[in-house]
Amino acid sequence: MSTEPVFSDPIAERIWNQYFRRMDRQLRPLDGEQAGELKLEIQGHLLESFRNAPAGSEAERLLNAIDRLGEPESFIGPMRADRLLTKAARSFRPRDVVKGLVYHLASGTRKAVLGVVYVLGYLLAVCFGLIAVLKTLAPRHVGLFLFGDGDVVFGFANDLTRTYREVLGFWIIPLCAVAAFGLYLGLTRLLKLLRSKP
Amino acid sequence: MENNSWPQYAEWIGNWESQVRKGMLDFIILLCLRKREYYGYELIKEIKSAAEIEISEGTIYPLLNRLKKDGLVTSRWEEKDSGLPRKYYGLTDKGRAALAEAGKSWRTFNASLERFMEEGR
Repeated sequence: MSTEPVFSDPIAERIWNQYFRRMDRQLRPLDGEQAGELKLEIQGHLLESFRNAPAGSEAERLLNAIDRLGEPESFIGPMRADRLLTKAARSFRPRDVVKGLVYHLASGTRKAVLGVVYVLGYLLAVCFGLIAVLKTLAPRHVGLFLFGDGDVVFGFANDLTRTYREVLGFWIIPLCAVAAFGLYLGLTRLLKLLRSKP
Repeated sequence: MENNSWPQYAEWIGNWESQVRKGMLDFIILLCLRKREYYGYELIKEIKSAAEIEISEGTIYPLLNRLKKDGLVTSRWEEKDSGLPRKYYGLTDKGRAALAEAGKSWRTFNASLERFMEEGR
């Protein structure tokens, strides 16, 4: 069975094809069956809306039908972001987490603010991880430094000409590793908070 | 100084009504489906006429998807002799039970609100 209408107006056909190319991009992260069914459903909807439209050229009627239906990014986007966040929360794979957050950030301003908080949280986890690694590479410059003039530095201290006391020693490695791991696990488990509410 | 001019007031009412109705969309979908099965386009038409709600038609599909994922609605494809097949949605037993509960909750909320509104008179 044909899944696309035959337009006599080539402009209408181009509009139709462009719309569903954009929809295909939005549907990509969804699983094949779900994406295929949703696309077929939307095609049926648009076709019926187009056919029921009052007079006008094919292109006009199709554009009006699209206007009523909405842009694929606006109504598929949140579904796509939800799907990716669910996947990331299950797999714990950094690639899925990054992808989920990127799509999530693109899915709405209010949620984007929460997304930024999450991005900062993940950056902090990366920083903890880096500190743990740097301690093995430059042990003298990494730690929790209490300087004589009252300054406190946690992490990498380049200038060690002032008097100081480093209080953590190599304990900074397990501490930072646990903090990085804990932050990553905690934030990823809570990714569901970013999912859109019903 | 507070500006209560009519256009701003009307705009506020319009936004508020739209938000209330959109917030009730899940409930309205379930109410429609309790009568019979609907496919997406038909359901939108029914919602628009029953609830006098203006929504971007596409927004109904993620909602139906979510309701299906939650087990409140079920769907089946029906082939058409002409045109594309249609996906019909219907209420599951869980959906009927949830709708009954939501109905009770709505009546309680509505009654409380009515009482609260009367107190202010």
